[in-house]
Amino acid sequence: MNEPFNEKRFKNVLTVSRILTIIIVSIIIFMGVLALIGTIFGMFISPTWIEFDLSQHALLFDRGPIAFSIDSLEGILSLKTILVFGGLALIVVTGFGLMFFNNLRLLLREVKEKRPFSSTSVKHVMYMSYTLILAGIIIPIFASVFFRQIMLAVESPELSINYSPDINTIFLGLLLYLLGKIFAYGNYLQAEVDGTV
Amino acid sequence: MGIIVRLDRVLADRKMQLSELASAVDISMANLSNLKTGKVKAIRFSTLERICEVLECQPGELLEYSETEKENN
Repeated sequence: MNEPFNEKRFKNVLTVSRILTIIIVSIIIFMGVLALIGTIFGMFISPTWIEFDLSQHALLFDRGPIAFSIDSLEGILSLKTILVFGGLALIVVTGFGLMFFNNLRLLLREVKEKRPFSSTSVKHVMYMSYTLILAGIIIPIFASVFFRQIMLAVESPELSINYSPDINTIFLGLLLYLLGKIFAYGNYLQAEVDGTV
Repeated sequence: MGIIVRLDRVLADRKMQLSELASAVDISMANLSNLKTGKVKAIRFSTLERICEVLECQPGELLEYSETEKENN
């Protein structure tokens, strides 16, 4: 026997998800525009215009189970470096974020139109998975370039930064790829049902 | 597919319009038209039963198997 389906609750969840997705897409677009303006501005300013004396600051690292701080830093970091390399990294992050959440928004629209297993839905889930897999490879490249520039400013031979892909994001992308294949099978079953009178 | 739907022939014998059958069987004209032109993948027993009931015929009069049709597809 089929499980009873609470359509009203599902519609509420869908409405809240769509509103949240639209808000997130708007924030990402705003961040992307800011990053673009910052990068372009950074390209035209002098490297010595505004500089930060790193001896005034401490380096804090806190990610996952690893957390440490270095109080005695030496070196000069220019605003140009932060704007250009940080801006580029942010543009890439917002680009991938926009691709992911825009596809999620379009997928939710398909579900709202009562076509959860249409070929369009399958396409959006697959695009979301490709976006996550590519983001897991490409974003760390830009992030490592940005942090390398900061490390170059820090006069400390002990500090170094290496590139490694974001395994968590790639794994999520692979899970979404699997979900996309399940949606594709749902699309096939839907076509079978639609072709039955 | 090797199965040919002979609904048009049975309808002509009964001098019945497709729209009349659609309302009697209670399925949409679009679906019935698809069935008549052989554009559907499957037919439910319940639909077949209702059509046979209204047209007073056997399923074998509505459906026919053709080897040549199968080869063409």
